[in-house]
Amino acid sequence: MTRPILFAALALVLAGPAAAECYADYKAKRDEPLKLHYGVAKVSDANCSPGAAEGELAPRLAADGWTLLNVLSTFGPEGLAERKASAGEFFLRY
Amino acid sequence: MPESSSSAIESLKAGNRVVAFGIAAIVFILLGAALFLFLNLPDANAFNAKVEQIFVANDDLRTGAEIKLLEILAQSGTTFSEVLTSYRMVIFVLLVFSTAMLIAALVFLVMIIALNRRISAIQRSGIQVSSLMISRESRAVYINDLEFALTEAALETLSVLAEARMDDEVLTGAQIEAVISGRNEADCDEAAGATRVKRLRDALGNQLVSELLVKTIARRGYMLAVGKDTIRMI
Repeated sequence: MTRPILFAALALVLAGPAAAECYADYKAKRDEPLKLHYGVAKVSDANCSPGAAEGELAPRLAADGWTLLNVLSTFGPEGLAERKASAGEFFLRY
Repeated sequence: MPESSSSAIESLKAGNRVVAFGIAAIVFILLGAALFLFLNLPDANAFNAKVEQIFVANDDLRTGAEIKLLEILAQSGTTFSEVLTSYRMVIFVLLVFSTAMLIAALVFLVMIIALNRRISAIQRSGIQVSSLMISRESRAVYINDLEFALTEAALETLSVLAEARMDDEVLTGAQIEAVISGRNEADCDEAAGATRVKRLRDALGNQLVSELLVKTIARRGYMLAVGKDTIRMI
């Protein structure tokens, strides 16, 4: 009887970190002519700090011709709503 | 006369050196100025970089409208950079013009100096033979386009002297006689050649000509006192 409970507990422990999603808001640019944008992107949990997120986001943006300028902050799902309006079309695009 | 003509040539050479150095100096200075100007003109992307800096430095600049405004600012800066490019062109053209003007001024300056020297040399030597043309056909010699009729013998002597002058040689009386008569030099008399020279001088007007044209070089012989390049034979 105790076995299924143990499994459930184990599953909960394993799923725990996966459920805590991490997002970062950043600023990027494109040259000639100068284009700027503010965006929000999902980053992996391992890179859930502004410094580490930069490393992960830069190649993703570069693939589309954007140069990452800086990462402002990283936050959980609770911060998404307040940033959605500002990010506009770049909300969770990259 | 040879002294003055050689000094004129030397001054001409010195003048050419001055011109070469001067032109090199002018081109070098203006090239340096051009490089300095071009390097110091603001870069076309200077404005964009500033806008980008503002965007990064202010975390609250994140709404779409604000970003659009920043982009418009950057675009107006880029438009201004096109004006800068045209300024560059104008500066370049002006530099080329000033180079040409300076070089022309230098060349004219050196030309004036050379002319002054030549004029003073002419004033010192009195009459300068600028062209000596021997015409066997009309049996005459044209000195500075003045025609002097000569006897056959005098013309022969003058021709021999002219040929020797072109080879930078000084002929003794005996050598002159040998060339004209076609005999061996050892068999010729110094006096015979001297007589030929005397007759030539007589034909042209003795004193003036001996100084201006047929010069006696002590213990060496006779030589035409004109520049090599002035002699023409027809």
